[in-house]
Amino acid sequence: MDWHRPPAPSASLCGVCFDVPEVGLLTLSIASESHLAQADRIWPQERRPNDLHDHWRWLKIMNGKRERFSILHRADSRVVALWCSEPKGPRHIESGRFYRLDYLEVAPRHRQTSVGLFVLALVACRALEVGASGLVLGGFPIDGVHRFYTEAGGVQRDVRGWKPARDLIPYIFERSALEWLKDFADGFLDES
Amino acid sequence: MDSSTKAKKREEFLAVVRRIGPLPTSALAAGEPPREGYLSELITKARKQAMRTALAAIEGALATSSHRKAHEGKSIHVLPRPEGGWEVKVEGGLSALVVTPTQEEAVKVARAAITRVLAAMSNGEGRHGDEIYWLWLRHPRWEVKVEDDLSAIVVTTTRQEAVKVARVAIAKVLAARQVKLTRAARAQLDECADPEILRRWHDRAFLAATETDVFSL
Repeated sequence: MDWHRPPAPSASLCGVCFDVPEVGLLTLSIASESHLAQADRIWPQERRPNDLHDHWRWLKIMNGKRERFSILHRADSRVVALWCSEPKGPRHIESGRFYRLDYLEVAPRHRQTSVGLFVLALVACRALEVGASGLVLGGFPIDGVHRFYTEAGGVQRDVRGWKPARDLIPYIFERSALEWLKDFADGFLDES
Repeated sequence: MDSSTKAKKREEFLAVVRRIGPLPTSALAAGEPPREGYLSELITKARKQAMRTALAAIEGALATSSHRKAHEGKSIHVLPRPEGGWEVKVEGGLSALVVTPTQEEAVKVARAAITRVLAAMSNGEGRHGDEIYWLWLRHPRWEVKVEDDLSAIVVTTTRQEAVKVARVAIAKVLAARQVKLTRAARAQLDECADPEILRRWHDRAFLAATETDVFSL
């Protein structure tokens, strides 16, 4: 498949290194074709057979997406997470501008580590960086996903002016929750 | 951010991670529906598992003779919980046997429980031969009645009691359908002890516009 690569966004955290508990040094990067190919090569084998997203292929998902990021292990450039958002920046929803998190996956082998929460903290940083006052996303209707988002400061509720895809649960993060998450990322900045 | 603040954030972060626990899926946000068919498979699997757990709990409760004795002659109720969800409860019991997310599942559990109770009490007099009892259990429109009357799933120990239940059930169906009973009709219902007639009245009660539609022989 020809991969259409639109211009990369400017993100101040790209290239910055974070020392994440239980995981080690991670960096944020614009998702490149090689990152996506790597994820498509390794992750499908590591997903569970009953995963609701076992058909996902990141090269296809990110094709043409401008707002696309990968989180890499600093030591060996292994991809530990990928996310993308809509290209036009935050959209007006309810009373403010909200960053829409379209797709987010952590490397399946990192399901039991702190990577998930850390990635969400970086998404919060990015949302605040582009001037969003909140974040919306659709999650799979699974107990653990609900726990993840509610513990991370999100609220499950219908959002006026935006609907997730069919069978997905809408979650919303207000600005205060984003700032709380951002503090985690700030706390892990590697200054060495 | 100074080092002590960083340390605190680190601890707070790890505490949240511990509360979250292992992620059930690697996909945390999606821009498309789950793959066709997967969701319903997942839900079916979870419900079957919940049903097995619920029945095991009921069987466990019935395994002890004191529980069994306590359950004899009692109704099994399906009730909404103030905090959400539905519970299957033995009449007069303080705690729920089973809590389910939907009324439909609670009713299924209750029905299965009644069948198990009967099987477990096979030495009870006339229990299996109680026509009305089985009639109600097998009735295809049982759920309709339960939706209107939450205490309508009943275990009886005698035929006489089953007849009483049948009368109450007919009255409840009619009340739910806003079909008023005159005193004469009420008396006719109270005097009837024939299971076949009661069954016919019950069938009619779901469609009747007036009491005459029900009680004409």
